[in-house]
Amino acid sequence: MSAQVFHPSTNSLARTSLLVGALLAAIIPALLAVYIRSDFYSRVRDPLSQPIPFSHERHVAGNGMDCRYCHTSVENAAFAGIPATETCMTCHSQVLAGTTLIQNIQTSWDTDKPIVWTRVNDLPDYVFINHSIHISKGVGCDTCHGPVNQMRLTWREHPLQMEWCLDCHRHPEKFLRPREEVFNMNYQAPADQLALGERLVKEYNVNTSQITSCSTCHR
Amino acid sequence: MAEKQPIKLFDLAEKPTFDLAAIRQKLANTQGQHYWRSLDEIAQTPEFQNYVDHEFPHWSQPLTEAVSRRNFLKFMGASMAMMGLSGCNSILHPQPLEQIAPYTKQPEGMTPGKPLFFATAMPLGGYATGLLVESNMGRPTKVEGNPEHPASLGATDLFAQASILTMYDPERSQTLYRNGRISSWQILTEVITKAMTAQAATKGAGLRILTETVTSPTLADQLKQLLEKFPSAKWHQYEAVMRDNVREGAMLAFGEAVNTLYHFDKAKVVLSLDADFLTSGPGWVRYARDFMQNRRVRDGETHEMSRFYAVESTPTGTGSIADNRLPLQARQVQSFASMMIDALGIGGTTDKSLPEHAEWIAAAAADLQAHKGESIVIAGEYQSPAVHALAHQMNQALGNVGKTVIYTDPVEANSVNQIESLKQLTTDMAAGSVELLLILGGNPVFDAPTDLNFAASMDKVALRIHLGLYQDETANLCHWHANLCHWHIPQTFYLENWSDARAYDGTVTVIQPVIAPLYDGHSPHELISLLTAGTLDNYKMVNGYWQAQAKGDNFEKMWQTTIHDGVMKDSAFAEKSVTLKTALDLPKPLEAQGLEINFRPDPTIWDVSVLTPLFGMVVSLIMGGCKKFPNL
Repeated sequence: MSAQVFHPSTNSLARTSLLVGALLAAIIPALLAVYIRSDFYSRVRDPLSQPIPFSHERHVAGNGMDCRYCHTSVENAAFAGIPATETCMTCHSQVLAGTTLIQNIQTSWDTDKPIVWTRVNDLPDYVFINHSIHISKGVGCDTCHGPVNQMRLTWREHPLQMEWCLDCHRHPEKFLRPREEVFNMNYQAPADQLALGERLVKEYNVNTSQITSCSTCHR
Repeated sequence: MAEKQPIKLFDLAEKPTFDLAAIRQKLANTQGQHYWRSLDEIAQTPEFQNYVDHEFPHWSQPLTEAVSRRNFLKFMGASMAMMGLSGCNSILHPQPLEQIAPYTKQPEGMTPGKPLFFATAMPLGGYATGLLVESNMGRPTKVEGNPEHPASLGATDLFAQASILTMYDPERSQTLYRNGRISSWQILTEVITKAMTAQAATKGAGLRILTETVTSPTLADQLKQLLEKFPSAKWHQYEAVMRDNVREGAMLAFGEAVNTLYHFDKAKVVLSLDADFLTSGPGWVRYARDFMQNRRVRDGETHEMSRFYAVESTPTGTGSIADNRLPLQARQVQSFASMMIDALGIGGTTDKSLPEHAEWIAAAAADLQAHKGESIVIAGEYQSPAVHALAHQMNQALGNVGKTVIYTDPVEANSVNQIESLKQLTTDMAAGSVELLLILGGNPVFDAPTDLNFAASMDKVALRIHLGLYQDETANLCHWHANLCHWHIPQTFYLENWSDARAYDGTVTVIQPVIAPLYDGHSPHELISLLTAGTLDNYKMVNGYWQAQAKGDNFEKMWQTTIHDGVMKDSAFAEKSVTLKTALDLPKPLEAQGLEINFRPDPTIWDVSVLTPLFGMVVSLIMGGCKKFPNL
């Protein structure tokens, strides 16, 4: 009589592995779902290292500069624009001139080589976004970019994932503000935001049925 | 899958017969629905299919290629799935960080993300078509016509549309080669300077320059100056799709080379003698628009539709819209034209070799005669000079000259018979009297007539330099054997350097670059300039030439306007009065016996020089094959 191939304890092992397998099948997707929504994965509130320690807080809240002073094309192009070295040099040829803080600006200006920034708000290449249309429909800068006027180093405020985009594209009335308030970084939504939003949706001709179609952004 | 039958193109003995009479009989007994149903049935019979295969082999072949529907869908599905995958972000890694580099000094008028449009022109066979090129952040992406350019009026041809792909074609030649090894412009400069010093002693007796058709006033001026400095040197022009027949036709008729312009918008009757003027040739984009303007009568318009008689030797787009189309062998067209002359009462010929078309000719002649001064007779570029001379004679007799047919000076900077020019070069090379040969563009090793034995003659030249967009045969053979070309220099594409060119009516466009050269490219201007040790800055050369030509004092304004508009004001040639020779001494038409072969440029790939990406692929395949099997 030959020996048993399996030890009796294998029975419980088999049962356990069935149970564990089923649990894993449920847990792994759930974990992944949590993971891709995590701030780590989407880099939310992660100040990226940049060639120049540029502070939006200093420039916007401190000096009272308007967004459009540097992001010139935000009102009339898809891309908001990153300022040319020349723009920086309008002030920094005098202000902080010669300090190590702006060493890289000076080098770029002297050598005619661009300052290479790391993109903070970066959408995947299969998503199209047009800044100018958002501005003209009353989406405030800070609605997507957060309190930039308080950022010493710039970070991404929102995950920029599709479900986040759709929050607004499905219910724009929750977020819209009057056009003249778009660049106001201290804007407070009124108590009757929904009433205001619904009025603005009509007034600005926001086509709510169209902005949720796939090809609006994926084109 | 039906088994593929090898198609014997020239085996007429095996041409399947197709009993038309029986079919007519069959159809005669049917009516209405049944008539059309029977047509379908006949079209599906093997006899008919076989007949069509033999009549139009180029149509039948692609249909019998062995890719089944099932396979096609399989590959389609797979590639669609892959395409989707490539768009995804990995779920395990956060999106990779991307960099963003703004300008140091942002150009004026530029909004990042918004395209700019620049006026320029694309020369094809020397003749320019005005273009507006869309540029996204300094990268040209799309070519459209320039509405202000007379040859375009906002439209382009397929070659201009496709040219943007040529520019980005990775198969383009990228570096200088010397004897098949990578070299540099600096060494070339040394080599050329040394050779030119030697040439100076003999006034350039051993210097030959072979270009394609040159209409660029700047390049022509550079060549002129070079030839003044080296009076014994020679400039030859050759291009596979040349217009020698047109030129020689004018020589026969007027004793001088002229450029003929047509006003199709004013023509009520048009007779084409094997001319494909709606899909090829200088100014065809403009001609097509002018011509169709008279063919369309919209609601509320009162003008009559123009009438179009087309004689042609091969089915073309032009012939397909003719009111009356007459298929003739190319060699019969001269007899046809002679009979037409006779029917118009101009006389002088006794050719009666096409009696079966006498009725057609009489009708067309009557129509032409009823529209004196409002008709056009146009001869095809691939018809003999005699046909062109006869067409000139007819236009003269019909009073069209000065109204619908305008003569001007030739658009080519130096109009020559290109075949004669190439022949002379080959003779000189074979005799060993050429020491320095510069080939500026073109691929003569591949496309020169075989009888000239160009490659073998070229072998006797001491220093051979080739400038080309591609490492083609002319360039490539030197890679393999290092004995055809000593130097190969990548040429800049028309979107990469300053130049100028004339359109079909002589209008000058300053060709402005929309991108810096992608590779180590150089222009013909630079090479000629190198010979005379002049400036190597293309802009300075073009600008300098026009500055010297400027009459008014406000050159800068004129120059800026010209570049902005893409058209130099008042640069089109003035009408020229020419006198028709009284007695035309025409060669006899070819005898119409046996098969006839027509060599014409392909309507879509021209002379292959524009079919570059695919061409490059084929060349590399062949090269690969030759490397594997050196005995091939």
